[in-house]
Amino acid sequence: MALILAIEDEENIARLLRLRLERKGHQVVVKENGPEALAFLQGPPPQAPDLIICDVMMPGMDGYEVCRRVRALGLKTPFLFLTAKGQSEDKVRGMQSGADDYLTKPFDPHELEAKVEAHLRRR
Amino acid sequence: MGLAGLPLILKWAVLGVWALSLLVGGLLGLLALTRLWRAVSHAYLLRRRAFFFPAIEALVMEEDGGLAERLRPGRWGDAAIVEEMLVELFAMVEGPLRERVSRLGEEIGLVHRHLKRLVSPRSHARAEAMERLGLLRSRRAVPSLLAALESEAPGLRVVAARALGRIQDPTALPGLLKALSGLPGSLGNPVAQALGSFGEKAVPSLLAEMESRETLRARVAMILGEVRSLSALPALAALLAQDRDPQVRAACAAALRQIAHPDAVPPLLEGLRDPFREVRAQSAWALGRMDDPSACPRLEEALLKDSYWWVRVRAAEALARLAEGRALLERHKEAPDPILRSLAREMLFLAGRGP
Amino acid sequence: MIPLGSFLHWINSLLLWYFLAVNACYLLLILLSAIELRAYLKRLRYGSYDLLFRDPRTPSLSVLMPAHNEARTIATSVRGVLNLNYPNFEVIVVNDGSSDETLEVLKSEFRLVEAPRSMEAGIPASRIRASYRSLTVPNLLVIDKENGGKADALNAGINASRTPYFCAVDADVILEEDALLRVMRPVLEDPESVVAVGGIVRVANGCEVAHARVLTPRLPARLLPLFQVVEYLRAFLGGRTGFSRINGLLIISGAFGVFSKKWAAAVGGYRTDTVGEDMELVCAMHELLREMRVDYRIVFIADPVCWTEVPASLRVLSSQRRRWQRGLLETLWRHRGMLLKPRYGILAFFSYPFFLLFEGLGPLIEGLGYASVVLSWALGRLDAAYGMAFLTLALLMGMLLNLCSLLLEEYAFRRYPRWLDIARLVACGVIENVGYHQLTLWLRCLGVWDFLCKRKGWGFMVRKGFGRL
Repeated sequence: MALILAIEDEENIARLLRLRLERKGHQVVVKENGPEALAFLQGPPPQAPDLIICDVMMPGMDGYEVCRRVRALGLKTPFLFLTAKGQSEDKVRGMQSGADDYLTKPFDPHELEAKVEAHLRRR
Repeated sequence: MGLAGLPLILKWAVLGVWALSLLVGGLLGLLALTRLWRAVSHAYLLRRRAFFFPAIEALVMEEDGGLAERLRPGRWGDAAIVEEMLVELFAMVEGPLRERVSRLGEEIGLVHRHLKRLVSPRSHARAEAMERLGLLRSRRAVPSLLAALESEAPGLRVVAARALGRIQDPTALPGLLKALSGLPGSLGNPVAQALGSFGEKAVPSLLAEMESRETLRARVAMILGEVRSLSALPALAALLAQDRDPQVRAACAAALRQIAHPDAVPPLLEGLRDPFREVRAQSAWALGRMDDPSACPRLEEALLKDSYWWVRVRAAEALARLAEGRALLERHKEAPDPILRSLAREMLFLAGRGP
Repeated sequence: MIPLGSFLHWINSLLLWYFLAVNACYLLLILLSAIELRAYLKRLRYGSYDLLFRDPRTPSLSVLMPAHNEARTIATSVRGVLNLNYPNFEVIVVNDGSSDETLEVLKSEFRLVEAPRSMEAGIPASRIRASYRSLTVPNLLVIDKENGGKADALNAGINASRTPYFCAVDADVILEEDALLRVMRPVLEDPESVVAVGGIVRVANGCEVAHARVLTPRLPARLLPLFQVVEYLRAFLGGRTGFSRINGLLIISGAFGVFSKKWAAAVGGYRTDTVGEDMELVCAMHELLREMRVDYRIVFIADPVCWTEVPASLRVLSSQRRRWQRGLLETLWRHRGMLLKPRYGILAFFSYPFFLLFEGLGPLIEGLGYASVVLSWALGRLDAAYGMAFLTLALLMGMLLNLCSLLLEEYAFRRYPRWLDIARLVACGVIENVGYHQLTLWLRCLGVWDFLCKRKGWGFMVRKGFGRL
């Protein structure tokens, strides 16, 4: 029963995430962009989700920037990227921004669940 | 043409323009009507989507229970709506769920709809049908698509190839390989991409193709690189060393770069001495991915002496990735040659900034 | 029986034939555009951008953004471009000697550090002071150079780029997310022959904009920009699409266009001694490619991809239109060798004469038409039939062209779904020819005058940037 913050501007994917993760019993909060998500985290009251899933490609603030800012807030929450590109450079860049893992779109929902469980367990 | 004749022509022109204006007025009216119709049908579409939505959610949750019945198109226009919802799912998910969605698409008759349209006399309709069958990942469509791959015009063969690339049925491989040679120039690129999407499964056929055909080795080499197939490495290395066509050699070097295995270093070092500059540039670029210090002396040689700017850039990039290489670059930061100096400084900066 | 009477009559008839010819050509273009749009929309139904995105053969490209005194908006614009959907591209911002804090804004927003950039010997450009890279964004390069104008800045950008294609954009441009994919699609499908691609430019005034993206297309409230919406639709949907269909495109907008670096460098890049550098580059490429007998295509993409702010005040509009006219004439003059030479094919026999007679010299001839009618009427020598014909052609034809363009917009894109919006556009299309058209006519005449007086420079601009069509 964890609180998961999903930052995703595409409605369909947000819904997919919500469905699969709520099925596992987690509580899912969806924010459409970086600034909204950061405002949510800072509050008041400040929120501390157990996991953050974030899309890389978003208008305005991209996923890497969001991750950097989350880390700058001092949060050590496990951070999962959803990336549409399959190139290795982007995965490296994601890790450098402070993320813990990534998933390429399209993704296997089972793989998503497995990764979420693994990172939640690690906390 | 006397001036007296003009007024009559003018009158005709004026008449013509008024007639046209009336026509435009009428068309505008028609426009307003179509807008109205679109608004109405859009509202209807939203309602039908909402109707099918719970079934789609159940599908995403991988529940059982009569999904085929719940998603079966009932009213006119439902088929397109359900299809669109399924295609949206395909864009998002992979794995076993995708298989399920694909079978569902066949069960509820969506595939059948498009298979019928594959024999339409209008080429646009056939192309669209092929595209939709690919988007639905329908295995049943593979034989028809293979037939289209042989018989259709080049523009449509490309669509068929793309569809086969999405469906990922290995029986399509021979047909796709044949199409690779049949499509001239850049039209072969979608076929190459489709083949590349098969991954390792395509490699044995590709390697065989490499040996039998005369003209396509460069293209096949490119695909092997995209697939990042280790088993192709010996063949690619051999061609890099021996092939007479410089395009093929360059493509092999590029492929070796993508495979990025240290066994490729010796042939690439030889590639640095190739008479054709594109081969040298690709070899230098590839060596940059190998992270093998033994390549540094030759890379430095290329950086200092090569006449082609791109070879020097790639050599400098490659050197900057290794500690030994960076030491070599440091020595050139104040070199009299401006290109050497700027390259050394630039690559050292980029290396120091972080990977 | 004063000869003046028959002389006037003769002039009037000649002008009438001219008007007929002009409008017939415009109608022909609209027809070609309609055919092209229909074919394009059909092709879209089985084209797949996701595959294009993942295709390893998708060529890399550099987005060149020349910036001059854009401190207020540069950060948002650059971020907007960085977030475009394309697998492999770099962004090169060229700070053309800005006197405001443009460079400082970039430095702090993207954590720039000075980093040398080795450049292949290329097009002559003004001295580069320094180049910068970002610590947080790997594919951003910022070049700081002495002020040299937009063309010069673009040339510096071309020199610094290391990709086979470049995309020249204005610093305040608003691009759609898939803009690069769409504009590169012709290149991907036919890399051997496509050497340049232009895209539609739409009016951003009045639209809801956030993060350098248009959220909701809306119409401007003020009249001047509203007329320009119709004008741009006519020019792009009704004009350039048609030219592209017959491979006779002479101009690609400087606000958004993709070019092959190889060929752009081969013609020596953008010329710095003209204000019409965007059209000049395309004409130069045509000349070179035809001379070398290369099989090539220069294409225009009908998909909506680019939005830009248009002048809302008379002063800025005046300056802009005069500059455009001057640029057009400068380019036409420079490439006058294209006229009627068989080697240039459709360019020589249709495109160039079209631009010369109808766009370049058109304002003068049209102005002459108005003057002649007024004079005839004042002298009491105005033939009723002639008067009516003139009125019809001047007003009605214009209306017709506008309405046809709006029809094309409605058929293909429907970017303005609100009924009120389309009604307003129709109204503007109808009344454009009793006021706005005459206004631009006058401004274009002034532009011709400027050209003849060999005037230089960019004139008055509110944003102090390079924004132009």
